[in-house]
Amino acid sequence: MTTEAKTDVFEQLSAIVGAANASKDPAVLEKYSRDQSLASARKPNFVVKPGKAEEIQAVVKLANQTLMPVVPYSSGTSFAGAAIPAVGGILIDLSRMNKILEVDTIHWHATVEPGVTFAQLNAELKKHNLRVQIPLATPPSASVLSTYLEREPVPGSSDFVFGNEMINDIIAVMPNGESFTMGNIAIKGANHTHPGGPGLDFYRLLVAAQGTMGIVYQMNIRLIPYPKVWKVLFSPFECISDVQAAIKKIQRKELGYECFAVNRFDLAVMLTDEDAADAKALKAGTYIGINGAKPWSAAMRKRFEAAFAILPPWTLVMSIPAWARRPEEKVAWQETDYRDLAAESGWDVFNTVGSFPSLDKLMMEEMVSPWRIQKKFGFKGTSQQLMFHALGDKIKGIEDTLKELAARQGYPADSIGSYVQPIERGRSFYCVFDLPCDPNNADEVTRVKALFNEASAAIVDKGAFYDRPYGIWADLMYHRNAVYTDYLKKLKREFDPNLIMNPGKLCF
Amino acid sequence: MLKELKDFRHDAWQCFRDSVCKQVFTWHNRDGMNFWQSCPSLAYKSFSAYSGQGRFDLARGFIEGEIPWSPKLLEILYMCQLDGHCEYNCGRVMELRPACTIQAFRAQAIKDGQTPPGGFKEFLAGLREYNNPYKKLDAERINWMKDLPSGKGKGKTAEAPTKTKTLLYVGCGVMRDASAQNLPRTAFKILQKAGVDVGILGDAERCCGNPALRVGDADTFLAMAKENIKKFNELGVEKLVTLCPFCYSTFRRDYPDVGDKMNFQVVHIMDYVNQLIQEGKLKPKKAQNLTITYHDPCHLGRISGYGYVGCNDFQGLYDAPRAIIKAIPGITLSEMWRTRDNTWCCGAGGWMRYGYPEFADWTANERVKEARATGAQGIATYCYHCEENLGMALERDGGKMKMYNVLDLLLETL
Amino acid sequence: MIESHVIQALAEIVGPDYVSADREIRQAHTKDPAPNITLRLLRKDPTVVPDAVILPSTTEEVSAIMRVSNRFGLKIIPVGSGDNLTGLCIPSRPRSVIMDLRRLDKILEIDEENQTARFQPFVSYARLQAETMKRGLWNGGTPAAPASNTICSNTMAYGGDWQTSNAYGLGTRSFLGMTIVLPSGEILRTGSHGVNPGDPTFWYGPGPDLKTLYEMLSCGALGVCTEVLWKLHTWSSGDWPIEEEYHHPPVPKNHRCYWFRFDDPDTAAKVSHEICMSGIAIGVNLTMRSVNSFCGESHQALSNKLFDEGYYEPHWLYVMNEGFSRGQLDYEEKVLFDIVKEFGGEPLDEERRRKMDNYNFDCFRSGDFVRWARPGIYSITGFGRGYVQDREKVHKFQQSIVEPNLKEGILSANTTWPWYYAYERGYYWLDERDLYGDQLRDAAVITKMAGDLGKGLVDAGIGWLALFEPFVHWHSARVGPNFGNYVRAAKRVFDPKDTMNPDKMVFFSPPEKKA
Repeated sequence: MTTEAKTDVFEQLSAIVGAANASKDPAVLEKYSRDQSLASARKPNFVVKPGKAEEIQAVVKLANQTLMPVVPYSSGTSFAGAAIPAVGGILIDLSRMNKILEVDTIHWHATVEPGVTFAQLNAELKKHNLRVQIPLATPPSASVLSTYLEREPVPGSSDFVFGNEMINDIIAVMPNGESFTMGNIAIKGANHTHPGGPGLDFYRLLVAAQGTMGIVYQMNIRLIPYPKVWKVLFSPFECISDVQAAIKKIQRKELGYECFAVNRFDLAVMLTDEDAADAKALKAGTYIGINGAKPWSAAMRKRFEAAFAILPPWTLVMSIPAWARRPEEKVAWQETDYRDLAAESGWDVFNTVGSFPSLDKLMMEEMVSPWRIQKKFGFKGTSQQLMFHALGDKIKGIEDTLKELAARQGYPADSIGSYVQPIERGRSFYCVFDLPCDPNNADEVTRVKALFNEASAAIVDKGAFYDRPYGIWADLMYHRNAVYTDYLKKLKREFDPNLIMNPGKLCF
Repeated sequence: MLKELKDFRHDAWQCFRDSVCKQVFTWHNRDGMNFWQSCPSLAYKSFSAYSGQGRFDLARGFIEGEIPWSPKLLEILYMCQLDGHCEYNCGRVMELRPACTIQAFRAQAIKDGQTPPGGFKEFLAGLREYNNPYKKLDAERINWMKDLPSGKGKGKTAEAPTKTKTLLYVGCGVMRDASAQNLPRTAFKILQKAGVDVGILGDAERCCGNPALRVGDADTFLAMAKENIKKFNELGVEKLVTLCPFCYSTFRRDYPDVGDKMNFQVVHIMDYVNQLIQEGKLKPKKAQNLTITYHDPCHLGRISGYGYVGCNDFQGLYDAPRAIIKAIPGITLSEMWRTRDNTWCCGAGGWMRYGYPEFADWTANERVKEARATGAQGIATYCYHCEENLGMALERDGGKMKMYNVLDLLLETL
Repeated sequence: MIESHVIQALAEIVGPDYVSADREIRQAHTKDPAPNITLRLLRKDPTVVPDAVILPSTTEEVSAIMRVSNRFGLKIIPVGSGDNLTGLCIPSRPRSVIMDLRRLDKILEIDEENQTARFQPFVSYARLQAETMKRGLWNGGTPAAPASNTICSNTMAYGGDWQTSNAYGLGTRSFLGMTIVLPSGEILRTGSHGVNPGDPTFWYGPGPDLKTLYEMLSCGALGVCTEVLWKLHTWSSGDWPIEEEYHHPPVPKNHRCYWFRFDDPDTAAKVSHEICMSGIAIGVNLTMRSVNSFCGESHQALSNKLFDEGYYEPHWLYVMNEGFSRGQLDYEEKVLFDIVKEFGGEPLDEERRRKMDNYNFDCFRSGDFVRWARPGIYSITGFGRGYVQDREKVHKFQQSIVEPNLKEGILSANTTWPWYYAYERGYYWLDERDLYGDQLRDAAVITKMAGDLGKGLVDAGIGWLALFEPFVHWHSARVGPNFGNYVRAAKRVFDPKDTMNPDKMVFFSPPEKKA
């Protein structure tokens, strides 16, 4: 392609979104060339910031004419390289589309655009005693729409109804530039109720698709009530297999709402007071990954070590929220049942661990807006994340494998952060392992990447499943299911005949 | 009068395809792995045409003139034990009568001059010639009495129940072979022990008409039924005690359709004996030390009453045999999964041993698998046909379990 | 007709005993209760009769059948229990073969540790419930249909609508993994089951989820499901045998059924919403007079008698609670009664409640509920998804359509009214209003009424569960503007030769012209 042609494209893009919202400035492009992870950087050719759906449609149509790749981008908080252009092209930054279009306080749902952040939405919802479910380590600056679209599990996943499926409907610009409504509202006049619309739940072809199947510009999600009375209890555990077994027992009794376990490292991070200078960035959610985090001060590291020393290897967090009617009574019977179960099964239940005061209040805050956990990025500068699903009885084997490989690479097992949370009432688990790393130390980066690659492959044989196959995980998954991959590609070709939507991702 | 096929046109159209004719009633489904099927015919052939639903579809097609008589149609109609499970479920849920429809469909076949398929051709011919299903002379009805130790029954002529007004109706089953004679003998001995006096018709007893009805010869059935009703009324019978569940079901469920007034009550020996135990006239003493399972004969249970259709409260005879078994010291009853209204046919229903014996064998084998799974040492039941067919299946199975007759078990303890 | 050498080719796959082109065998697949099928039958439309019936017993046999079908241009209609209500199991083209899945009937595994069942498509709700309840688990519900329905096809056709969907959600959300034989004969496995067969770890993906096209309402138009991994939930009441108690079967020991009466439906609707939003109850269901009479009593005639006597009042709400402890049962009961009292509802007294014991049992293991179908013809008008608060708008419209027909005697009072089920903690409701009539008499009139009523539903803001007949014919233009095009695109990808169940659902490619 000649330079002239590119200029021509840029002019057209500028005409679509307005000159102020289109850029080919290398400095700007550089900002979009990497995310918070160690994934390789690649600049887009252009960045556009559309303000409405019609503009997205026009950009996508233009991309089809010019056969230029299109990469959708929302808040830039990704840790998996999903929004890094694999082959350049037009990056569509959706952050200008940041309106909360509707909050239904009777039926508990909200309609949001891609630029709406968790902090923004929660601030609005607080007025109505509602809240939005947020994954345990997602910064407040993250896009609600993208987080849900990428199927990141939320802690309320323990309740299979509330947790798993919070999307009611979506509207997307499809690769051909058409707008396509998925969900009950595809029927003219119908309400936001369910993603099946009517019949096929089409939206799941766009979920966990990393923008390869279309650009979602509107989403309706379910909300949950803000607790009137809320109790959070803690139990120390020595190892991951015991804690998963305990979680399963709790889930079988359908007790509580959020229920998860954090390891010593992650909890110590949350309990380490930040340096005053970082507080604002942390609460705003900009202290993340290689773009935001600064290495900790010596004083902070000392505070961390003190906390780390007195925490148990694993802490089970049991959250019992109650709203609506007789909330005290609800918390009372749940606590009684929970304590009975723990006593009968042989684990202790405390109001805190490591004698930290008000740990319950801290954890409640984290469940609404997890900003403290973001401090982990300052431990070394960034962190490589390994997240997957596994059956409860497989987690121990996976952890052992990871530790063994870490030892071989000389990586300290003590610095691996981790949390596990049940999905669908303990039927299966979502696990996250963090490998902190100094991005400025090339040797360490190489070693962590090697460990990450090696571990990613090894744990698949131990029962790990990457439902969101970012980066190298795509090959690990798709190579094991040829027919699935083949039909995914056929479907992609049907929807996106020019293969312009975020090429190079997944199996495309 | 008996209903004809055309009377079931509405039923045939109303079928909802809800599959309740194909499985144990949902609430009572206790084993989802192995013992959940309820229709032997469908389980054997697998095609839906061999179910209550499929036969409704065939009836609809026939009535609407789309399907003519054919060997296949006859095979589908006759490869069915008429064990009534479909009717029990469908009657309960949809108020339709698939088994009655099949029976009327067979009657239509005979009326239209069709020949019944398989062994039923010869069976019907024999039935018409001998007026009983075994091609035996009526004189053979009293062979079982010959070596009875004492008491009445030596005579060959009809003996009216003048004193007791109770008639023991033995049934044609006793003529089948020597082994069948045990059934009335045991019953008789038990009644003697209880000091009960009953009349017996001896060689003047006549077939209840069940085989004719089931094979589709409605006219023969009607003639037999009318004659029997007349005879019982004339003899002044007040209580008709039957041994054979087939007869019991025919008297109870089918005779009222004949339309002639019946001055007698129909009772099964299980109920009768159980009552004697409850009254203290029979006192089981000797312990048996045995674990058995009990097989509910279809004709004693769901198809002996009107069940849910028509809202008759009578629900089949299930408790009496169990009460007798429980009254015997030392016996442990280990139930199968398909019991009572959901019992699996022994295979001999609808005279299948004479029509499609290999199908009758297969059905019995399935029941034996279920009985084996209970861990019991033997199967107890009370029916000429169930005992024979299941007994043969137990032999094929290598004799790992024994066949018991409920009253034999009782007699040993008295 | 299908040529004998093609039948021979099919027989080589399944064996000669399991394929048939006999007219009598084919006759068993010519009718369902939908009025449009009845109309076609009364007009003696030959396309309702399939050309053959085949009974495969393994995934590999299904795959081989698909390859033969491709070669010889057959149309394959997969059938589970076959009690579909909307013509999905009835042929619409020549050369149709019914693929009866009856022999794929095994429960392959129940993994108690990971709360998963693995089974073949012909396993019914009743069977899975029998096996799982023994183990302290269950599938989470039973539809307002007989539990003799096969789980797989019931869910794939109607989403799996359960009376306990308030807590356990739509049945489709229980599909953890599927093995699907594609029209090409290839075998597709989804989720973690695709990466490691039998592994139930995760239900979607990897990445975009292809299972979404199958689990919900594709109705055999994209492939044949031959194995499923299915999510199980805790069942707190243990083994639950009932054998002798016909008239008053017991409610499971850690479950409760409550019945409340209300003077007007709007109040009942408000109460229903409030109960769901209070986070209690596994099932919240608002019913009308006729629904209650369906299976209130052990004998239909007894139910009818009570109906005629005015026993069933116009607006009842039934609520199912489950308690893992005394504390939970007590708490949920208190909250429930608080709400009902606040809105002036009234619980049925013990004697009246006992008259509903049969229904109470059907809440968990439906057996008699399908009595709603006894008039014989049935048209889905509802199956809508909406908010319970919108019910009044639809109701007025329904009245205007139904009233004249009631007077004419076309419809009967005890078979015509709607019901509402809470889904997923009340985030949405199933609004079902059905029309029933006599097969031989009412097909045309029911079809017309159903069309009018369906429009009213959408105008009131209530969507449809599915785009199957009759919705497709009435007003597919209301969905969109381009929904149908994307569904067709999916069909093109998976079934380019239109082998699988053509003309069904939204895949309404025009039927072939008759010569």
